[in-house]
Amino acid sequence: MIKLRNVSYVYMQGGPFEKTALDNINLEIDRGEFIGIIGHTGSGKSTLIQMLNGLLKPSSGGIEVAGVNLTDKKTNLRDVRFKVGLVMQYPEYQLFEETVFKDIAFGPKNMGLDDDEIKKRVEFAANTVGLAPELLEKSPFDLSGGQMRRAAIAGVLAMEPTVLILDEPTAGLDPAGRDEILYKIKDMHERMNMTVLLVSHSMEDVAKLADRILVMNSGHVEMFDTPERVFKNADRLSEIGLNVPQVTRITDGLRKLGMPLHEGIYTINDAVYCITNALRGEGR
Amino acid sequence: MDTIIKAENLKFEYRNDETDEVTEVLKGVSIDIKRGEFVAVLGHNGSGKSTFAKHLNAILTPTAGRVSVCGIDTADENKLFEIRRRVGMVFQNPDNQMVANIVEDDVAFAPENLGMPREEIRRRVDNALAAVNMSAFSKHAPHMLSGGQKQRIAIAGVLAMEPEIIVLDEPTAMLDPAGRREVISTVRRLNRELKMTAVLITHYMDEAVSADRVIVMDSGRIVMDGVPSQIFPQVERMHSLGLDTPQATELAYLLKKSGFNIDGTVLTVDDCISEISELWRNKVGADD
Amino acid sequence: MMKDITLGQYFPGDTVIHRLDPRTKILVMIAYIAITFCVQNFWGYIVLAAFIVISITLSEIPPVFVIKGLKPIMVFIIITGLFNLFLTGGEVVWQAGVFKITKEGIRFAAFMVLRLTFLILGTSLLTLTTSPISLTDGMYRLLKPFSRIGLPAHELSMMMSIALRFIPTLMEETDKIMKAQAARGADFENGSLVQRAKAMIPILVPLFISAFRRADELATAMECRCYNGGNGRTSLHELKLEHRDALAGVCMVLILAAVIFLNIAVK
Repeated sequence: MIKLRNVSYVYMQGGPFEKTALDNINLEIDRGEFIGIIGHTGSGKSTLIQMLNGLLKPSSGGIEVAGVNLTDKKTNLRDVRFKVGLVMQYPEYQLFEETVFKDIAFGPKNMGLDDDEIKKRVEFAANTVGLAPELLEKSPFDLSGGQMRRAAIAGVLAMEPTVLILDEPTAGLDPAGRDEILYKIKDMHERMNMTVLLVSHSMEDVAKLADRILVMNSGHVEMFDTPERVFKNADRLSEIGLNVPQVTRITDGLRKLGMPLHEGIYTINDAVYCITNALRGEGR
Repeated sequence: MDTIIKAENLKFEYRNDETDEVTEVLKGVSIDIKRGEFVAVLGHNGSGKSTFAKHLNAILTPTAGRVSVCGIDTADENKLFEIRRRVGMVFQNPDNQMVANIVEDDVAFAPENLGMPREEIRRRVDNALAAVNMSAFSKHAPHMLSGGQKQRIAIAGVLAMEPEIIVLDEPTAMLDPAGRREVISTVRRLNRELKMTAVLITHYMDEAVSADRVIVMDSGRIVMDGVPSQIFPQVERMHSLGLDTPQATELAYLLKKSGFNIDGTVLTVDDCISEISELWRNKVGADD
Repeated sequence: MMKDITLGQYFPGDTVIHRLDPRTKILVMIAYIAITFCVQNFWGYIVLAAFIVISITLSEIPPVFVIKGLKPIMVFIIITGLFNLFLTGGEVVWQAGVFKITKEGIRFAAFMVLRLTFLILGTSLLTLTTSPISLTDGMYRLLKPFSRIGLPAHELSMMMSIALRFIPTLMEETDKIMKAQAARGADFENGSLVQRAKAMIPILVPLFISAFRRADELATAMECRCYNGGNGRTSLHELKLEHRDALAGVCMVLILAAVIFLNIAVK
């Protein structure tokens, strides 16, 4: 679905402030995968996702998304953006229309769809993110913070992209709001068979949802593997300044004290299960 | 220890001008906060925690009830500045609290407003920047700093008033994990070393764990109040209030629930490891 | 990366010119502008040219930067020059159809071009050697005495400095919003003028809303830091007039005297 070959990106090339944001990235992501992307600020993850829908062009290398070569000069980047939906950070700050309906319809309208199709898509997208139909005629600025966030996500979803990229969709939300958004994203992924890329600072959130985790560090791919294998390298993750889930740190600590726990435990349920087994003495 | 903040049956409501609807945000909050305490206030969005915070330096005043800070009634309009210089307030968005184009000018803003002599302003600016470890950045432009650094400058900006209390309203909500650590360790240091009373409003549980006291708010009322080791082990109650608990606490809670003899009040990774490893040693000992 | 563009055209440095009190620089600039209008013959411009060349040399700013300041105004200068050249009556030296050039025309055109060029060079030098902040500060202190007669000097300078503070923030925000709307298929580059103007709405509305939100939050934050207008406010920065400021004043008086002398002496 997504293929990056030797992709590099240099900000202000040739200038005095030249900075390499991405250095020779090679990646392949399959259709329908749920990918979690983590890395501290400045690791290159924002640059990476903005490249996948043509907002930024690589300084060198090739990018192919959904069969389209983004680095080909003839490619219409606008068409690519309809296929690769990007929800930026704090997306509620982009709302601008008089009604929630019109705002969600902005993308489909730019695609040149007819009114019936637009209506169908807006209603579907609103429903998917859990916005009640009566909210559609309200001004987006009368919604609560969490509702605004969901309306903004619906605006991207209504384009029915094959790849959905979300940059920290839970930033600034309280735990309940965060869980709700994450649940909706998981639900969307399952129902719409989209390829999802979720950028997050929270290891816990990423671990819960992703099939594979992409760990970025100073412009490089540090790891790209299943959560279990990524969390086996907890020490390395801490070294590059990332927060390892508490359960992983606890089970790692216990294993060092001689308890028979396997590596790479990252959910509470798994930890409870493994610790219970060990303590009950059934062995493994 | 004496009481520095006292709220008595504090109520706050506002009227929507268009619909004429009255919304009651705080429905009777009573609390005593002691000098030198580090209090974390938790609650989901709309629980009233930010509104409560704004009462502590008279940005809002009670509709009914009373709030007094350092013995001054916040409803006393003549003492507005006396209250505000005693209660420093830091907000969520670091960009929207900076007035000046240069870090040290921004930190100087409050003492300039208070009409202090030049040498005193200089002394306070230097001290405040040192207290947040940002002295090296005194001549920088704020927009070139990281989120965590900006927020530390915002803290320095209120420290320059030499307040007795610092109130932080979700200061880390917009920061990355590194920025969050910078800000929280700064606040903790101010509390420990300068004995400053700190009120931290947050929805990150890991930040509340190190507080002296945790207050949980829900729909305009205080529903829980105690030391962290009393609050967080109530895992189900916390979840029903839309709040998280540290994974270490949750793990201990779940193990206890499955019948293991484990202390349910653990809060940190290390405590959790030592509790479980003790169970493990007992088991290994029994097996031998 | 919009946030990397520099504000104004300040060229940092630590030379005599940079260190002059901003009040002195503003007053010198006003005097300089007045003098450029007083000059009545080419000898006067030689005095001004000497002044500018010496100032640029002292400021250690690459002359290209100062000359660059002329670029945006070039068209205006040329048009003014041509108008004067062709439309001044007098002794005809060249004629082609309706177009004629007179002796007086040449003289006027040259004067106009020189006058404008010197004006721009001077003001460029001011903004190149003075940061926007100290300019604001200098202006505030010069205007402060007039606040007694109702001039909102403090408010003006506060507005200026807050504007300066938020320009980079809002630029960055514009960049973000543009990207976000482009991700939803907004097209800012193609279409007629009307269509392109319309395409700005999805950027401007969120930008305005955000600016208002920021203003609101900033106002609260300022109140929390005991802001109460300009009354009784003191300042961290001390502006002290030094010998060099007096020297700059003396220079201006001498230049004025020289120009007046040349005006009278050379007829």
